[in-house]
Amino acid sequence: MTREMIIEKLRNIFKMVNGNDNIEVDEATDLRTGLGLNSIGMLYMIIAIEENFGVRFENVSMGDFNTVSDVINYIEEQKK
Amino acid sequence: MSSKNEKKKNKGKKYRTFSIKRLFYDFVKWTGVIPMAIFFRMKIFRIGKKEKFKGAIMMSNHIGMLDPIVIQFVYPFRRLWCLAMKELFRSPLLTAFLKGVNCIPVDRQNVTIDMYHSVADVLSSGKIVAMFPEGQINFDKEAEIKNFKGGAALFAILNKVPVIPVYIVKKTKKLERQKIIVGELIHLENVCGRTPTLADLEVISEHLHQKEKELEQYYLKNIKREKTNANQG
Repeated sequence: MTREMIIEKLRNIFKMVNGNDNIEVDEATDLRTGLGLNSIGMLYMIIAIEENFGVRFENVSMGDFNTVSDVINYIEEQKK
Repeated sequence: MSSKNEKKKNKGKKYRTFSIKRLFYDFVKWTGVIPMAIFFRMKIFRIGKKEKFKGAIMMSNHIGMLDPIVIQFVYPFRRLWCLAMKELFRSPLLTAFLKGVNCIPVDRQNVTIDMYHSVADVLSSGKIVAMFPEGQINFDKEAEIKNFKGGAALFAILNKVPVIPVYIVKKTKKLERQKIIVGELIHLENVCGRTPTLADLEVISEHLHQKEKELEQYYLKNIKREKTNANQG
């Protein structure tokens, strides 16, 4: 799975979590300031990613992810 | 045939009063019953229709350090898991004790996904997880129930389990009986039928907050007033 494919899937997840179809997402987007995710929002996002990508996040906290790029890196590592 | 198999499967998962795995929890709980019966003299008021359920989230207001023990008596023959702040797990001995009595650590500043996995595992095995959605103890006896954080709503809706609303009455006298009001099960799929957005979670949390307030109002209008009238009479 390429980074572009991952970010496309992530876009759909962010739209679902935020309930906003016009959301602008790229790798540099900050999860807190750019997408307005609080700790519950971050948790919800990770649960949605687990379901959509079939990966399991372990030993990670919400502070480990700052930008969309961090999330993509983690998914890529898990998918290897 | 399939229903027979299902019945067999469910029979195996039935609650067992005695479990070696949960021996420490049961020991602490049942030895704690005697002092709790003497000092708290629990009185539980159940409102509305009774429903059977497996996994559920029990939400309660948080008025003191002993609340996790007090709410164990709402369903005395079921084991309860409780979310506890990470700061309490400060030594290996305390950690072993708290984990032994079914506490799941929560880092409130930096939420971990492992905590969610632990809660989801407990709920999927048909157990009850107790949460205090106010987020901290509300020591002020006159204060209203604080706004709820979104965790309880998120966990309940994603794991498709009902919420049991519980209101612990603030005692005004030391020797007064500890009253607990237990409301009807709240099925969140009736509140939000679709995959929730963050805004929906806020609405659901507010709904749960309102339900908790309704229990408080029920206590003030029915139980407290009756008692006052009886004393005046």
